[in-house]
Amino acid sequence: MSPRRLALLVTAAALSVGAAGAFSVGPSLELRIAELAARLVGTPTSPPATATSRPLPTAIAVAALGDLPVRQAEAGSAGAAFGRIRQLSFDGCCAAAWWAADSQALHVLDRPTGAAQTGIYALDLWPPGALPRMVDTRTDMIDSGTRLLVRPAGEYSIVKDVETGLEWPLPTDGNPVRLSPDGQRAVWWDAAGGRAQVDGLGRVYASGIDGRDPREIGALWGIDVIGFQPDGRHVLVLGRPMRDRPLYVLSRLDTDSGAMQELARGLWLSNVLLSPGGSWLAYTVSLDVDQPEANGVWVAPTTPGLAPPRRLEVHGAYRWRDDARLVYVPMLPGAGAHALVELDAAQFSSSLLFDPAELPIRIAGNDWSIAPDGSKLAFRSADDRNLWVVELPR
Amino acid sequence: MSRPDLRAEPLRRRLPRLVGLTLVLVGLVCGPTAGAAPKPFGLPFAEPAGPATWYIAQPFGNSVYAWYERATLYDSAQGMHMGLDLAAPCGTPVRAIGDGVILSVDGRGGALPHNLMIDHNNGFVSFYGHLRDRAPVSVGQYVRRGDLVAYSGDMYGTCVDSPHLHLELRDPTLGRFFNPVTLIDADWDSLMLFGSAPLAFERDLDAPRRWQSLDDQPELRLGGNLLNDYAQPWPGGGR
Repeated sequence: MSPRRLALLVTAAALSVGAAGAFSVGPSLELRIAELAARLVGTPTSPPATATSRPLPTAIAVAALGDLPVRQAEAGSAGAAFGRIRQLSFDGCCAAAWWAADSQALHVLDRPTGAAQTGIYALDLWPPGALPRMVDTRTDMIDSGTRLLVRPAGEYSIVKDVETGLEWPLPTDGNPVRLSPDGQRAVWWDAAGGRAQVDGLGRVYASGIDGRDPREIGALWGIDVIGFQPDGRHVLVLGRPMRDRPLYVLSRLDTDSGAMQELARGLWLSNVLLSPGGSWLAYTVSLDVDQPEANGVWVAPTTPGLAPPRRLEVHGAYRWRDDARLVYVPMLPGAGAHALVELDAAQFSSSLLFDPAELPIRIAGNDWSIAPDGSKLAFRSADDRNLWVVELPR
Repeated sequence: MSRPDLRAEPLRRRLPRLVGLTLVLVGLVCGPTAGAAPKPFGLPFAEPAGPATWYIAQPFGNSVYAWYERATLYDSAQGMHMGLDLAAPCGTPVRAIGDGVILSVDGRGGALPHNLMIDHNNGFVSFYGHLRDRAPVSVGQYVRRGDLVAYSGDMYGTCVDSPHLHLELRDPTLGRFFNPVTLIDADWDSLMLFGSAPLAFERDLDAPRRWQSLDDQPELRLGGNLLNDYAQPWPGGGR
C-alpha cells in the first residue's frame, strides 16, 4: 500500500453538513498576529505570472497572488481579519483534526492527559475556552453521512450498522472500503500482494452493504478508489491502463455494469478530491518532464464533456469549500505567511480570502480542513502546533 | 565539572574557543530564531519544489506506510522510515547537502539500485539512495555544498514505479538515523503544501499525540527494537 493511498485512508474521516457560527477575539490574538506579521516578506515587485511550464519562483508567484482581488469582510462583521480567528487548543493538540457534522466543533483523536481515556474528543467553538469534550471511545474509522461504521479487521473490513448492531465482513484484504452515500453499496479493491499502487494489477469489487452479491467490476494497474459519486451507483477510480507507464487515468466506474468513462488523465495523477456535491474534481499532475505544462493542480467537472480540465496557475494544497468553490494554499517557500485563495470552479476565477499581511497564518504540515458548511477553516499552526479556526468570508 | 579559566590559556589555544563562543552569541542575537541552532545542511535539489520538480513523498519516522512495512522494508531501523523521500523525475541532479568527503559509492546501506554517502565531518553522514546511476564521484573526493553528486532514480530501477530520492542523515558509525527535517535549512511547512491531504503518521492509541509532526520524530538505531509495533495502532488492519 502506498503512502498516498494510506494518506487518503487516514483522511477519509471528516465530511458532513451543519450550521455556521460567529467569532470573538481571543485574548492572545493580537500578540500572535503581531508575531506573525513580523515574519511576512516585503511586497513583491516582479511582474505577474502567466501559465508556464516551469515552477514559479516564489517572488513571481507571490506577485501573481498580489494581483488577485481580496475578498471584503461582510457588513456587520468586525471588518478586519483579526475578528475572525480563534485558537481552539492550547497544549499542542492535535494533528489531523476533523470537523463535527454541525460545523460547531473540531474532533480529534486524543488522550488529553495520561489519566484520560483515548478517544474522539470535541473542541467546541462555543463557549470560548471550553474544555475538550469526550465524544466517543470508539476509534473505528467512521464513514460519515451514514449510520455505518467501517473498521479494518485483518483480511476483512467490518461494516457495522450502529442502529441495529448488525455487522457484515467484507473480504477487503484490510484495504479501505468505500460506502455509497445511501448506505446501500460497498466497493473495495484487492491489494494484489500489498503493492497494488506501484506494481500490482488492482481489481475492484462491489457488493451490497451486507456483502451480498460480491463481484469484480474493474481492474487497473496501481488502482485507487476515490469514492462514490452522489448517485450511489458510480465510483471514481484512478489507475494506470499500462503497467510500464505512470500515466494515470481518472475514470467513472459504473458499479452495475462495470463500464468505465474517462474523466482526466496525467502523469502521476494523484491527490484526487471530489467536491462535496460531486460536481467537480481537483487533482495534481506531477513529474511530467515531456509535457511540463501538464504539471500542477487541475480542476475538472465530473460530467464528461461538460468542460475541459483547467490548471491553476499556482500549485499547492487544496480542499473544497462547497460543491463549486475550491480553497487552495499556494506552496511558496520563504514567502512567510500562507495565503488562502478561493477558486470559483465554474468561472475559473480566483480571489484571496484574506490579505496575508492582515491575517498572516502559517499552516503546519498541510494540516487544515474546511467546515462542512463552508463557513470556517481549521488549521494546525506552524508556530505553536495548536489548532486555530478562521471564519471565511462568504 | 569546573569551568576552565580561559585567562590561563595561551591566546592561540583560546582563540578558536573565543571565536566559537562569539559566533554562538552572534547566532543567538542575530539568528532567525533566537535560541535555535542553525541547521547545518541545505536541500539536495537546486530547483524549487513543485509538481514539475520535486516534493515530499514520505516523511522520516512514524509514517503510516512505515508502520505497514515495519516488519519488512523498515525492520532494520526500528520499523520506521529512516529517511526522507523526495519524489523527483528520474535523472534530477542531486546536490551535496553540505561540504564533505565522499565516504562510499554503491556501498552498504541499501536503497538500491545505487547509493552514495558523504561524511560531513560534523558528526553527520548524508546518504542518498535509489539513484539512477552509479554516482559520478570517487571515494575520498571533497565536495562542497551544492555540488552535483548524483542523479535521482527509482527504487525498482524502472523510473516508472516510484521515482524519488531517499535521503538519510546518520552518525559517523552509520548506526543512528536523524530526522533530516531538523537538520536541513528549509521552509518545511511551506514545502508540505502539496495536494489534497497531509502526509499521514501512524498513531499509537496509548499515546496518540506522539510523533505526529514532520519535525517531531524519534532518532532511530540500526537493529534496535521496533518502535511502532503498537498494541493499539490507528489506522489498523492490513498486515
